[in-house]
Amino acid sequence: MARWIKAVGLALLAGLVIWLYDQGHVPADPLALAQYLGGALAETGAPNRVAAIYLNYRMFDSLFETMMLLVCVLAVVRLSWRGHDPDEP
Amino acid sequence: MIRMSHDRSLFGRLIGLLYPFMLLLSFYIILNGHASPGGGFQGGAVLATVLISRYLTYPVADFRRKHLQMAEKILFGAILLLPILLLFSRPGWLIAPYDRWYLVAMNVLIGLKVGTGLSIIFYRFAAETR
Repeated sequence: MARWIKAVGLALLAGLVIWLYDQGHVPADPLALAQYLGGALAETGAPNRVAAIYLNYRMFDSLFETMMLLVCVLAVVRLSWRGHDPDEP
Repeated sequence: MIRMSHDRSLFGRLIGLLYPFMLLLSFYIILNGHASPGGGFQGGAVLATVLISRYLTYPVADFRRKHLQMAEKILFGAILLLPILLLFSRPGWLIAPYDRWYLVAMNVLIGLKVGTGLSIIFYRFAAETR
């Protein structure tokens, strides 16, 4: 019985989240939309607009994203338990 | 998850058959990332599944993790250097329409870096559970 109550509660919560998302939908700025969708191929040479944005318009975002992954790897290697890793001194 | 590896007769052979297709798919996603959905980050994640599935069938880390880490650092340096060198070699490259080799090269570098990074993290956590 308690599981049914939880399931119905979770379904209602999911419906609320979807409803809130639907209410708060903001259309994109038409100026930026025309700039990025219309001029991306001519300005960057990338037919894929996503590639145009993350490799050209927002290059620093990609740089710091890859740096975040590098820092994550270093943190996992340095902070996790050593175990039987033969690479550790 | 790791216990599955004891019965590797069927699972291992199937994964061995799938290796070339995994590599093909990952490099397809990376190399066509500038023209179709996909890109370096997505293709790198697929590339990491090659080493992860290899560990599931053959749970021995028989390569040096330090080499992967060094490769990741070198790739990050290359990711930093390529746009900087392009910026100083060709003034106005952000405005002029330029070739797609920069996009392909950056996607390849990012894909290899993401693949090595995710593999390192997975092997590190997998070595902890041994």
